[in-house]
Order: sequence, then structure tokens, then C-alpha cells
Amino acid sequence: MGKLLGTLGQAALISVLAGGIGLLINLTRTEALPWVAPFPYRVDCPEKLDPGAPTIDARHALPLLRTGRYLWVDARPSEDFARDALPGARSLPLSITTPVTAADISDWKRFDAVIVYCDSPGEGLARLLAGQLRAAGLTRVKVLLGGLAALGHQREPAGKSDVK
Amino acid sequence: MSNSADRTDCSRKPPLGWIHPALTLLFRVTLALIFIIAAWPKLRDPKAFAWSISYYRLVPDALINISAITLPAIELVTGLLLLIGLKTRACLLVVNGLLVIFIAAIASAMVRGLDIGCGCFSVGTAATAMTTSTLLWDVVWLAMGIYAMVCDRQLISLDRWFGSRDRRRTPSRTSR
Repeated sequence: MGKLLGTLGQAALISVLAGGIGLLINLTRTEALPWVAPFPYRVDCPEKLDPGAPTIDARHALPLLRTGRYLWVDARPSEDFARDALPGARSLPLSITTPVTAADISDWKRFDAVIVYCDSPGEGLARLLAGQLRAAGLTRVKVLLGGLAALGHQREPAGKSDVK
Repeated sequence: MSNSADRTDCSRKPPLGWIHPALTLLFRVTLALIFIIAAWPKLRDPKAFAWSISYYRLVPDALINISAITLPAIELVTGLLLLIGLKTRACLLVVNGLLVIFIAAIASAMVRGLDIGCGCFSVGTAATAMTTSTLLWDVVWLAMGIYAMVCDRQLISLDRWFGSRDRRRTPSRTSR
């Protein structure tokens, strides 16, 4: 019995020391992993991410573009946004692994609505991002039907603000 | 007093007396290499390993990162100690404990129908898909670990070297 307890004690000690080595190794990393993740580890299947998000078509969306009461959000990668973006739009590239948090969009509730757009088939990126925005607490989110292509000639290069 | 009470069945000399020590050594080194090889990709990319852990949906979010940081180090250290045969029984206890946890996690994921990577020898997008053979291999390794722990003869190990050195230093104690 004493021998078993001794082995158990040694095993516990080895585990603790090895765990300590792991923590030290982590501290030496250029991108140390925080002890507690700053975001929830949750990956939702794309089809579960708000497939039925409210949409708005280009004809109704265009008049809203310059009112300032609607926030236009670009779900495409930053490089695409840098190349061609809508005037006044903000870039929020979709990330499945790092979903949008309430803190990211804390000042967005002042807008009448948030219109999310992309250029992927079936508004895939925009729908996924809309799902994340709604999960983060934003209720008035619409997906632009047809994406940038539907806006056609209204698109123009513009000053951008990248929020993420 | 005889220490025969401490001995297990595999301490008795079988007809082929070398089998137990040889098998124990083989199993010990095999498990050591498995754990060292398994630890390496996780140490290199703890972030991907953290995601691999999260896919099992067993560990609370608050404990995922700390597990991803410490678990590979525990695997590596126990693997290295097993390889050189230092604190062998204690290391085998840790290894067997980890294998029990891995088996439970994999079995639970399979029962729940989770289509996830195992996260055993590779992590992130490189993680190999979990199959029944993943579970079976872990069971085989657990059996090897239990056998090595029960029948440990300290063949080619630092434990044996330290033991014989201590016996030489304190002959009066061991001669009783």
C-alpha cells in the first residue's frame, strides 16, 4: 500500500513538473497561448449559422447607402475589401474560428440596421457573418441579396475603416 | 521478512525467464516513442491542439488552453523518462492514466457520432480522422502499459542503475 502511494505521489509530481515545463515553454513562444481562451471554443456548422437571415435586395438597399443610418459591413477577406469597397463600409472578414464577439460590435446598435454583403455565391460569407452578428447580440442584421454584383455600377472605391 | 508479498505473478520465474523482462522493455520503449512522437506536433502548434481538444466537447472552454499547453509537455516528459527508464512505474502510471482518458474521450466522441479528427499524432487540419482502429490502438497501448507497470524488471534503465548503486552504498540494509 505504501509502495503504491509512493508511486502515485511520484506520478503526481512528474505530471505537475511536466505541466510546469509546458507553461514555461508556452511563455517563451512569440505567440503564447493564453491560459484561458479569450473566446468560446465553438464551431457551428455553416448551415446552422442563420440560414434564414433577413435579406434586402439591391433595389431597396441602394437608397440606404448614403443615409448614414445603416452600417454596411463587408464580410470578404481584408485584401478584397482593400481592392474595392463600398463607400463608408466597414471590413469584418468572416472568421469561423474566431467568431465576432459582443465587444467587437459594441457601438453598432446605434445604426438602424446592419447590412452585410460579400461577393460569394448565395451570399455565403455574408450569411455566415450575419449569423455571428446575431449570435453576438445584434438583432437588426440584413444580408444583401446578390452581393456586390447586384449593386453593379454603384460600386466605387472608397475610404475604408477596418474594424478587425 | 521476505519481500515476496510485494512480488506479482510475473515475478516468478517462468520456463522462459527472459520473456517478461524483454517484453516489458519492448513495451516501455514502444510507449515512450509513441508518447514522444505524439507530443511533438502538439508542442509545435498548441493553438491547433486546443481546437482539437475543443472538438471533443468534453472539456470546459476555460480549461481547453491550459490542457493544450500542459498535456503535450506531460506526454513528452513521461515519454523521455520512460525511454531512459527513470521513475518507470510512476511514468507508466501517468501514461496509463492518460490512455484511459484518451480511450474514454474517443469512445464518447464515437458514441455521440462526432465526425472529428483524433488529435493524437497530428492536430488542426492535418488531424487524422477518428476511426475504430484509433480506439483499438489506444486499448492495445493501455494493455502494454499495464503489463509493463505490473511486470517492470527495470531492464536497461536508470532505475536499475540507481538501485544497484544505492545497494552498494548501503550493504547493511539490503543484506537483511
